[in-house]
Amino acid sequence: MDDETLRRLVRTQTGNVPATRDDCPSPDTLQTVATAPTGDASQLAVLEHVATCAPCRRDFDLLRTAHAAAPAATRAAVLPRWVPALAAAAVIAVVSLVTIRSGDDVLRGAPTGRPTVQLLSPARAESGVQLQWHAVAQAVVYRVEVTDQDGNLAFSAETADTVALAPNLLDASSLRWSVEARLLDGSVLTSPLDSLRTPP
Amino acid sequence: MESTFRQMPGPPPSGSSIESVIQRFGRMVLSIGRRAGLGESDMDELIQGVRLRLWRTQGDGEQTETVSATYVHQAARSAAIDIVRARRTVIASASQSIDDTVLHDRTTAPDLLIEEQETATRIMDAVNELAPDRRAAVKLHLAGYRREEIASMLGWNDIRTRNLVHRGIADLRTRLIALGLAPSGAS
Repeated sequence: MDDETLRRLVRTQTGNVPATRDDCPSPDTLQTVATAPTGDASQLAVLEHVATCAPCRRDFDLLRTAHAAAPAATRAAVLPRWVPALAAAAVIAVVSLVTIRSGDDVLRGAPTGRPTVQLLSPARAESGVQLQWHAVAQAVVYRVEVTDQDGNLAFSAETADTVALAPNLLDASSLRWSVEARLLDGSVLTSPLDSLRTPP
Repeated sequence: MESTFRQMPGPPPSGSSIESVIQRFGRMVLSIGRRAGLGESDMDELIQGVRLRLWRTQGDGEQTETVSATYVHQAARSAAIDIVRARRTVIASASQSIDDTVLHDRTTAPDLLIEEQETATRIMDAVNELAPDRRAAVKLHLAGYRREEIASMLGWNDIRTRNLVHRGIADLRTRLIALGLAPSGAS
């Protein structure tokens, strides 16, 4: 019995709409789990319910979609005119920092406690582009995104690590990347956008 | 259904920045929502909710450069949870029982459907006997969530998620075999 067969059979149990929602988690609980995952026992129970209750799954997926879509919606669209210059200065500063610290184990990143996520230069890897950033204190998960000039998503991944491997992407020099750190307290820190251009 | 996001008229004369944010938000919702399996109507409703909130508070054009990421995030959270709350108030007239499914599914023989329901019940019973972490990972996996989604939802790293899904499924298969549900294609 492969996974697909198991899934199909399980769906016959979980794909129906319950007569009442009395036993379902509240909307606020669903939103907390969707936006600030902790992995504790109470959240596990909620997620188990979501996995086996069709209407709760629909609600949960809507809530997490809203949570994930919002940050990307504002990038580059409403930035004041001075932000690109500031971002460029930040990139230069980060590159300088990496150069100065070359030889150290900076790629894995030590907690910095600074109020943004600090990106490190992308590097070529065998099967794509390796994206690295400094760890942020109390970060639960990082979301890394690669977008084109119009803000369309070309690649995204979520990880608890400070490195992600993006596949080889066409016209990478026009792409930009950023990292969003979700912290233990539910707050979010976002890095500036940086070019995906890799060193030759 | 065509998206409301794409059906809306062009941006208001004084709100181009807001419209830009809404357009971008709409694209992200469509991209992420489709991968999550959301229906078009749900995505349209969410986009429209954010549109209304942004226009209501920022639509005079005077603050268009100050539409912050935080504000859009709050608008999206607020719109999404309002949709979810509204659904809860709807009388569950569309409730559909398992028996209804059996009666109305004309593509599978009724006796086969009942047999599958019984098998599914036994599978879920076996899943519920797994250790809590594995149980959660397996339920989300069988619900169709991808590994990176499961990791994100549970706040786990990729390695832990992969291990728990893998071991949980292996554990489940062992239990199913013990229950006499020996899978023909077991791996």
